[in-house]
Amino acid sequence: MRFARFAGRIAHDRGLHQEDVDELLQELRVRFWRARKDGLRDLSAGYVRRAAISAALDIIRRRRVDRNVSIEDQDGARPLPTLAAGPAELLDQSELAQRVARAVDGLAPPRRAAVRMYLDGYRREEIAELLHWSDAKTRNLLYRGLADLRAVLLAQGIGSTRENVQ
Amino acid sequence: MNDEELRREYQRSASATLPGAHPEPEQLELLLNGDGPEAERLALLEHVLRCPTCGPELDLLRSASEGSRAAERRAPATRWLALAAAALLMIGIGTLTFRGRVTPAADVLRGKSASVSLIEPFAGASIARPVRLAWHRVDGATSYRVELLSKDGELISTWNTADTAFAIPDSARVAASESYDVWVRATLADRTEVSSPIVRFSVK
Repeated sequence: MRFARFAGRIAHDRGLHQEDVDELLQELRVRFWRARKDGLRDLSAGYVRRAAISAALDIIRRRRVDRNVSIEDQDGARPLPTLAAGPAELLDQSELAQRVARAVDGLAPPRRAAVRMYLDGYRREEIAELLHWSDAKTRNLLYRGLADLRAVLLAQGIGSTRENVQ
Repeated sequence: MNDEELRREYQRSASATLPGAHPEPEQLELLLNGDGPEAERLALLEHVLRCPTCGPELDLLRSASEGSRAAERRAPATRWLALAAAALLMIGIGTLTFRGRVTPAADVLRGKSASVSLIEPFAGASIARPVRLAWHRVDGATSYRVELLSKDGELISTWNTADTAFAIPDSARVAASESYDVWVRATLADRTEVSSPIVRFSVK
C-alpha cells in the first residue's frame, strides 16, 4: 500500500515503532470501511487526508489517556542518555552537551527552530515543510543559525575558527 | 565542531524543564498545517522538539500526512480519466475509440495481470543515464503512466506512454549519484489501474 510505504518512511527516519504505523493503518482501514458502508464510494484525496490525520489524532488522544498522565502535571524531563564511558569522561561529555544545548537555547527563535530540527536529525526539506518556509529561507536561517551556534561555542573555547566558517 | 559532532552533543543533552505546557493534539495539527502566526508555531515547536512525549506524536501526524499525500497522487489521473471517459460517451465515439486501440489477441500470452511487472530497473540497480525502464505488457492496458519520485517520495515527473518501455528524458534532470524511486501504473479499459511495486535505483 502506497500510504504505508510513505508513512513508514517518516516513521522509520524518526525512530517511531512499526506498531505505530500498523496502528495508524488499522485505524484508517476502519474509517474507509465505515465510509464505504455508509455509501461513500469515491474516497477523495481530501477525505483520505482528513481520515489519516483524524486517525493519528485519535491514537495520540488514546495514548495520552492510557498513560494516565495529566498533561498539566508533566514536566517532560528527557531521560538522561546511557553512555558507555567512565564517570570523569561522562562528566566532560555531559558538560559539553549541556553547553551545546544552552547555546542552541540562546539563538534567535526562527534560527533556533531550524537549528534544533537539524540537530535533531530532520532533513532540510522536512524543516521547510514543517515550518512552511521556502527552501531559500530555510537554507538561510539554518546556515546563519549554525554559524551563530558555532560563534557562541567558539567564544567558550569550543571548536575552532576553521570549523566556524563551514 | 562539525555538524555531526554538534548533533551528537545536542542529542546527548538532557532538558531539565520544557518551555510551556504539552500542546493539545489539535494544536499539533495546527503546527502541521502551518495555521496561525509563525511566532506561536515556533513557540509550540520549541516545546515539541524537546519533549519526549510530543515529539513522537508530531512525527506520527507527519507520517499520516505524508502517507495521505502519497495516496493523493493517484487522484488527479483517476479524475481526469473519469472526465475523459464521460466526454467520450457524450460524443458517442467511445466504443469506436476503444475498438481502435484493441491489441491483437495473438500478443496476449497470459491472463489479466494483478500488477505491472517491471523488467528494468530492478530494485537497488545502479544505472547510467539515460535511465531506461521496461515492463511486461499488461493485458487490457490502454496506457501506462511512469512516475519518478525523489528518494523522499516527492513526485518529480510523470509521463504517459502506450509502449512497454520508456527512457527518462533529460528534462527530468536525473542526477548522478542520486537515488530515485520509480513505478509504472497501467490504466485498463475499464478505467481501473494496476501498478508495479515502487523500485529504488541509483544513477551512476
